[in-house]
Amino acid sequence: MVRRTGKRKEASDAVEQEEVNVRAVERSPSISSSVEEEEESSEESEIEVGIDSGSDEEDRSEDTRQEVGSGEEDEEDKPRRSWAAVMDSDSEEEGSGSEEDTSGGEEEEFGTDEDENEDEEDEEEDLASDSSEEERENVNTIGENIPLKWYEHERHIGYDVEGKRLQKQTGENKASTMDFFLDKQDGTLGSKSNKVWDEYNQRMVELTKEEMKAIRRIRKGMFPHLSVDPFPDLVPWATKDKLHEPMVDLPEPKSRFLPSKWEAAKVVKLVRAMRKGWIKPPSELEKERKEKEEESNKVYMLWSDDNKEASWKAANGLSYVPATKFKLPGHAGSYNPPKEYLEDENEDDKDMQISSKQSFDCLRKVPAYDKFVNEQFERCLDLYLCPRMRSRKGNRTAENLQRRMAEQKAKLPKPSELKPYPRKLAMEYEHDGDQVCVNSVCVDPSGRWLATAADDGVVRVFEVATTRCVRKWVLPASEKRERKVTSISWCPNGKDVLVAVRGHQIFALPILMAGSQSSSGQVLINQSLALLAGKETNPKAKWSKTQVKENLKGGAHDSVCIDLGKKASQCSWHHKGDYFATVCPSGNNMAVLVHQLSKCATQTPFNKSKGNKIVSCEFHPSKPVLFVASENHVRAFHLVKQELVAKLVSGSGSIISMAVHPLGDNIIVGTTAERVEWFDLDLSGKAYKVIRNHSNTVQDVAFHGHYPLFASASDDGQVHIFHGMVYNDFETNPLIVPVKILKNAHHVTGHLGAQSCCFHPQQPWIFTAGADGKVKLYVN
Amino acid sequence: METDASQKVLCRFVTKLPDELKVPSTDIALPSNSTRYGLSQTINALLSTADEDDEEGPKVFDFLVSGELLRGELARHLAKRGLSVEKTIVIEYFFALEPPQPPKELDLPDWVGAVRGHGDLLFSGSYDGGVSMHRTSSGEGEVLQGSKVAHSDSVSALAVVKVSEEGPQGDDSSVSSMHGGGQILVTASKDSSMRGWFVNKAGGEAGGDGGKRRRKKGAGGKAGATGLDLVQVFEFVGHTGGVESVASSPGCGRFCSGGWDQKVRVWSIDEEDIAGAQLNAAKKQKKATEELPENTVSLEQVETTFLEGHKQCISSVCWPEENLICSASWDCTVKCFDVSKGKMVSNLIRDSALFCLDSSRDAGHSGSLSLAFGSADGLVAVWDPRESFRAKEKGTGMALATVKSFKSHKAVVADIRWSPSSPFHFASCDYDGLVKVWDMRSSMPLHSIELHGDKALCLDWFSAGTLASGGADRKVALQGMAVMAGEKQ
Repeated sequence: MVRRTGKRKEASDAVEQEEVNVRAVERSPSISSSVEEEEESSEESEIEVGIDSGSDEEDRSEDTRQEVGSGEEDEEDKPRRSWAAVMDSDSEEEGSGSEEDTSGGEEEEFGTDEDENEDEEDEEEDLASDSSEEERENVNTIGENIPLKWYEHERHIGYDVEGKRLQKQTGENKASTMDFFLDKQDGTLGSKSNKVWDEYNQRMVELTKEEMKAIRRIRKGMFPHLSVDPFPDLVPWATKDKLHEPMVDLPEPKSRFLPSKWEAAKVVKLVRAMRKGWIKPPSELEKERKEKEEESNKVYMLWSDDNKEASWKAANGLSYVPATKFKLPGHAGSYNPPKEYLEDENEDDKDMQISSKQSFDCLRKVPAYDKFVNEQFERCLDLYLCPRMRSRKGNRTAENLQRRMAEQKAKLPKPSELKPYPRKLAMEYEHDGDQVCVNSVCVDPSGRWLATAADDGVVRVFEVATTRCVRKWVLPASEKRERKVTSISWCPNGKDVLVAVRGHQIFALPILMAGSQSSSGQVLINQSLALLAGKETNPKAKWSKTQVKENLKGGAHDSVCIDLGKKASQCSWHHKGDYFATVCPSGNNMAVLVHQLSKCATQTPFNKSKGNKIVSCEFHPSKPVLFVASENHVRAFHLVKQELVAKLVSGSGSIISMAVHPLGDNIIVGTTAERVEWFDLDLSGKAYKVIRNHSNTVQDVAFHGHYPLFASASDDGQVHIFHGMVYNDFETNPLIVPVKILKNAHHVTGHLGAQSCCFHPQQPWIFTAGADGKVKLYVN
Repeated sequence: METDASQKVLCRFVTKLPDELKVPSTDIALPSNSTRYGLSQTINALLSTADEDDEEGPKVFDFLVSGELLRGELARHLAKRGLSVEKTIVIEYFFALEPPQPPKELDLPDWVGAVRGHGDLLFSGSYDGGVSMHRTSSGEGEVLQGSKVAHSDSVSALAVVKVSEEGPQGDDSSVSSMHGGGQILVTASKDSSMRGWFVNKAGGEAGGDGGKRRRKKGAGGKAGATGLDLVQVFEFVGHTGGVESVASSPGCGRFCSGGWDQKVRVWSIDEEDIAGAQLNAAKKQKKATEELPENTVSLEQVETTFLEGHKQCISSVCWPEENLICSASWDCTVKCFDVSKGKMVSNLIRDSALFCLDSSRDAGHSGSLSLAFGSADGLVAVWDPRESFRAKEKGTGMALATVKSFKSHKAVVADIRWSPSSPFHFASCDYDGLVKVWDMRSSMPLHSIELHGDKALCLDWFSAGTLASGGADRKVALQGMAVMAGEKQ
């Protein structure tokens, strides 16, 4: 680089001058190199020198030795040295020089140097002004890349600008080395002669004063030019002090604000490795190592498994049961047992065992055991033929298990403990006519008469004890409407009044069971008819007087008829026997009507429709509460306070039938989803127990009046009897136990089976009615 | 359990039969597996030496071993009762009940709700409210009185009540005593009415021994030439529910009834009442010409006392001793009442509703009182209430009732009657139409006869050894059943 700048000759400032100076030095590489070589006394250089130009070199080396005076070391064996190399060596020299400073001998010299430097500073202006370079222009044009060695055997040493060979100087032109040396010694040249032979250009060059100075400085290991400051003051630019302005006035790059993707990838990699256990924290590694060490050093019982019960399980789930062990032989098994173990041979020959009953004074005399093979064989048979069972310890003995099972069973009492309940068929009440479907049965409160409602529009009354049909009421059909009698109900207060529902009409019949005209039912009916004569009736429920024919005894009797205008489905009495409620499923707010027989009045308890389709309604047995069952809910309304008391939600299917427990706090419903649901009003609005027992719609459910019994009749033809105990204390939940299934109680005819069931008011008997036209009585 | 035929049992036969049927009282070794038939053959063989010219063929005997009739093998019978086969066994023998002959049948217009035999007279009440009268001594059921409408509803019970001790005794007690005025027929109906009737000879006056006159009955009678006529003389007013059962006392002049009003009502008729009734009947006779309804004129009688205790319908009453009335009810109890004190003295609780009750006849003099009752679950049971009486006397409270159960009926037991001639035999009928004859000493029925195609509803014995039963098939079946008590003959 230095040479390039030099070649351009553009620079005119001081630096340029420096370079020029340096070049001057450079141009005499052979001098310095020869000096070095001599000093090192390396064989190579000697040979080189010898080959090169023996005498010249020697002269120069002598010259340099004189001038430099100090051991200059240089690794460079190249003939030409670059400026940088010179600089390096200078700095080294400087270092070594400083070392020498401590020796003290050259302090003065150093000081004089300083003085000289000061002197020379004045002259620098001159140096800068006249350039010696211009004076001594290179004649040779081969350039510096061509070593002069190549021209050793030539007569020329390169070419000048015009391309002419530059002849090596010989003879007079070139002063011989010896002459040169002699001149020096003679002083013709002067000790301070500044002539130097330029091999390259083949001419003698006279060094200027400045050049000499530079050479001297170089020899001292200093920078050739005065203006060079090798140790400028350090300006610290990265300090702890915060700069007021940024060092670089660029906006912050975006990457500084973004999380590094590379880091993220690296983290993921590490995390994965840690998860997979490829890399572990050193603490863990340490732990593992310790564990391994411990394991390898662990001491264990070699035979410890022998007494331990194996608790493993085989692949097939069977646990290994070790074979029973032989009893260890005791004294009796000894070959020479104590005398007390030797029984008298006379005593029992049969039970004698050789092993225990014989004695030998030494082991040598013991004969071979003749049963050995047999016993081992038996043992093997035992081991693999006899099933083994682990004997359980603690409370798992067979006795305890049995006891526990018995306890569990005892939680649900056996049906035989819950007697009485209906068990066997006692009587059948025959309906004349061709399989007329019986829709409803009802027993009068005394338990003597049974009324049935059939599809042929006849209400029959039977004597319970003898199955004799004693009355047949043919309900008058108005204008060919529904023939079926769907529901009947006896007046619960002992008066012989029966309410029957047929299509749109509801009849209150004087049943005349007492056998006289002045039966209580007839009196009641007559009273209300008398009242009816002078009274306007509710247009929605028309009360009227009707003659109803009775077929068996003959005659027609006055009875009350209420026309509701809509099809009614069910009726039920209030327990006092004056009010009864009827249900019209499609009646909206008129769905539930409450009629008062003594006053011939009809009330509509609800302004709005309650539920989508009212199915059934029942009075609470003691409180003024009306239970209304719609398809999905059972609602309990307080009739005096006019409010909703409870709302019960059916779990599944739509409700078909409902029955209220005689104490009033429990309700059962039968649903189309083959279920019977027991609701406890004290517990919650959801079913306390759901019994899925039937395989078809549960058509009717019934409670017994005072026995803890309830029953369900279903379209699958079965009637199920349950024990349903309700306790008076508030802690015990009702106990429900199925006790009897009356299978095939009724034939299924046209998808209809058992239609209705009803308990006898006093006896644990149940009446069931079916679509097959039969009414059956089951007794206990 | 097979018994070893080689094993022998020592037996000694005793009997209460007449001397010509007695076998020597020596111990006889019999095979232990011998049955009733074998023993019977043995007896016949033993007797044949004495009775060679017996043309009737082998007689059939029944054997009583340790108080029970022998059924099955002898050894098993003994083992069951824990008796030793090594001791000598005393076997009592008597004639077995003869197999039933085909029954005679009487047709009635409706279901037969009640039958009652008196001598050779048979009264039957039917569900149409009619009462009819037959004489059966002639072999065929001779109709004395066709169905006479006595009640508006079905007749549920009949009883013959003796009014005076006097009266014809002996052979022709049947007819003459009835129309003699010493006895009246009481009919009870499910419409809660009860009526008393004279049995008059139709077409002539019956001369009563006690100066009573027999009145000729009016136009209503449908009696034949030998017919008798029923004349209503009493109306017993008191029951508020249907009457289910009527029983007369062993003495005279009293009877009791029970029904749906849950009270046992006791009625009494003395001779004055009879006289009044006869006077009344005479009046009625006059009035009959004036075309007054017959039934309206009768002497109204009110019950002397009533006995409370039952909670449900009283299905059956009986009056075994002068001071003791027993009743069975649907409330599953049998109660015994002291009539004079009007108090309940004994109570037996069963587990099913009771439908019928009867007591053994000769309770008064034989010292045994047995009550038999049948229930809705088909169980027949026999109970001696006097155990509990004794316990009460001792002050030990109620003794555990020893009730012997007889399980054979499969349907509701409708009626039960003790044989008048034997303290051991009784008959029961059920709703399957079966009539079963029982010996108290055997847990199996002696005979089971299907007399009715429908429910059998009522049952009674005749003194002549005939069993009459009425059923829902509108028939009265007459079944010869000559029951003899073991010790009698």
